Amino acid sequence: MALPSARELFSKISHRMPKREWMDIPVEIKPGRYCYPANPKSLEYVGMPYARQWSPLDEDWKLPENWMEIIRTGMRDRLDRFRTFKIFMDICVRCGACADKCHFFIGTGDPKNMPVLRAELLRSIYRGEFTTAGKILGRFAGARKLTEEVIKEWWYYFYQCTECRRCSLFCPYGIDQAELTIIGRELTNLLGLNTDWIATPVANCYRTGNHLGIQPHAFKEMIEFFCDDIEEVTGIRPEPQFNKKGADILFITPSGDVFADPGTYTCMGYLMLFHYLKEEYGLDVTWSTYASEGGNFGFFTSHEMMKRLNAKMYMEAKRLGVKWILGGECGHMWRVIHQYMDTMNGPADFLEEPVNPITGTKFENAKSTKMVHITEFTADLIKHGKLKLDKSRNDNIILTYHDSCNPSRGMGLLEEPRYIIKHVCNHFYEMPENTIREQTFCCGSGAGLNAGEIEELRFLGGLPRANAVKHVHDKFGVNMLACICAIDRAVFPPLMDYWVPGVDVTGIHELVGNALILPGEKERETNLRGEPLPGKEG
Amino acid sequence: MDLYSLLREKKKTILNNWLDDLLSSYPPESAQFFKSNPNQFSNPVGNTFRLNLEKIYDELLQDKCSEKLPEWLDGIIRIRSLQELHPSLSLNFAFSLKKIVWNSLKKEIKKHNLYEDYYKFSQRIDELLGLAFDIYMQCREKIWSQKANYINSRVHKLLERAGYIKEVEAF
Repeated sequence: MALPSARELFSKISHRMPKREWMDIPVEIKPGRYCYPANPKSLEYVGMPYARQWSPLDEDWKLPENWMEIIRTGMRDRLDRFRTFKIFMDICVRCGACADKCHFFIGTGDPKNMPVLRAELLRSIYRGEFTTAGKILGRFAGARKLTEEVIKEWWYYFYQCTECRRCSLFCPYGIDQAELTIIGRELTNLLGLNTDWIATPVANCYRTGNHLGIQPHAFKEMIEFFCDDIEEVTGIRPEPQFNKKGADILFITPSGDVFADPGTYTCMGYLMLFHYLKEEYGLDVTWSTYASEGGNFGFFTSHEMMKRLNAKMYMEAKRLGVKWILGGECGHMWRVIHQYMDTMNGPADFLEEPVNPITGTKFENAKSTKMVHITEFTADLIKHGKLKLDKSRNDNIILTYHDSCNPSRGMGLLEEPRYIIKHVCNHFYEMPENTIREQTFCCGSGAGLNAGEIEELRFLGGLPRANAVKHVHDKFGVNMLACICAIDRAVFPPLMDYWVPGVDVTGIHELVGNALILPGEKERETNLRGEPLPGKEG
Repeated sequence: MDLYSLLREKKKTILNNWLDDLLSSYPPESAQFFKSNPNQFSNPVGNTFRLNLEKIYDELLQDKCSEKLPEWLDGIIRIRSLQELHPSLSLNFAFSLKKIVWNSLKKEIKKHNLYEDYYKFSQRIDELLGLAFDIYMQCREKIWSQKANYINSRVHKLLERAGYIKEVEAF
């Protein structure tokens, strides 16, 4: 038989997508769009079920024999336990207000990344399994059958949501897509379907105290290594305290600040601030090599795992006998603290209601959790004139500020970071209004998605944020993006390098560290990165 | 009557068809969103496509393209090269301009015997394609060089921390 001509072949190629209902479009698991499955050892370590080797590209995902019963029971249980889940399953009118608010939909153009449709993946099964209309009318009532394909689709798309809650902001009913993603992930976890970038950090946090499994002596060494660098820059060597019983304040920060640039410079900023406050006001802060991770990867796993990993913060505070806890620049750590910790592991009645011992300010919002965000703490110090700052040291920086999703939308921390910025930096420009504060765009890598294997997906998820940065870069010459989240600090440098070359990334306390005039310091020649200060370039 | 006058006259129709053709590689719901939302911050993909196609088109109508042309192409290709599209589909928008111009102007081209002009314009599109390939590869190489640099730097740092590397000290 003669081969078809090129013309015939090309005539059959269509670049148009088929017009089909979403239920009729089978999920296509594509490499580069999913995180690798969990290492079974990590699951076993924390007692999670059905740990096994499996591949998302295989037809057979080796589900347990009674997987349908597990899912039905799991859903029923959660519908009973979580009123929000039950309500969110029932009340969506599919108005579509959320549809174009998700950074993954905006970047990828995959309709199943519309929050409404991502929720519909779960809702259609709820209708089919738990509602009379759905059981009788089936698809007509928006219901579908529970099949292995559905499970695959859940796993694929619930790990393409960063639980940033931007969509929830626009939902007239306040449906919280993050909660649906959490439940969706819990259900897949019941079948042993997890991702390694979450499961192994969970096991590490549970065993060693932080997500990389940095052991206590190494954690201490790394911080001392930063003290060497600070001494080189300032001539002053901070002497941080570790696991000190009876200290006033326990400081907990994401471990990313300890090992990943540029978060390490933020960590130096903390060390310098604490040194300053100790020298000037006698503030007694301790670090912990046990509670050495603020981030809570349990949050991306299940409510139970979140509670389990969070518990160590209060346990360590109790063990050390501190008055209250100060928390570093982290994202989801703060959502867990602000919205869950008090209910899950409180009341922390063994701690005192946080008062800044230097200014006397009562942190009313932290009255119950007993945990204060470091930007609130530092902003309060600045407000009361307790810090000597030379903001001209940051004059090489033309700054913009990214509201990290969880501190901004999750806890309303909008003004404090900006207040600090304005006191440590002379050149600050906001990004457009619909991309900051409550409407901030996610970095595209939160909620356990910061895995190398899905970098390209993350770059598309981060496009709306990068696009707004590009705007201020082009308009005002912005060359630095500040943020208060360790995931942001880890993912923004390559994201900026791809979309907006020429923009670097910093934490707020790196800027504070550069501006802070330490008692007895030498004349500084460089910033914390070893780059010449303005006017010292020669 | 010359082709370039026609291209200017029919600019709106041609650009509209060109954008529709580009968006046809997305599911209908997404294409609709990309096309309808005019806000450059809440719809960066659609707006980049719309604005940059027009700028590219305007450049092609100049006697000599400006240095800005690669920038306009880059805006579109930087996005398309990540959207799990095959290279040919990523750059299909550059190929398709010939088809769109032909479909829009074939009557006039035939009537006024503008084949030579059309041939010359086609050559410009071919040059545009060459440039598009270069930019596509730059985008892909950027991604992979980032990955390679990350691994190299991680290994180096681990060796350094473990004390296996000793840098040369100054005399």
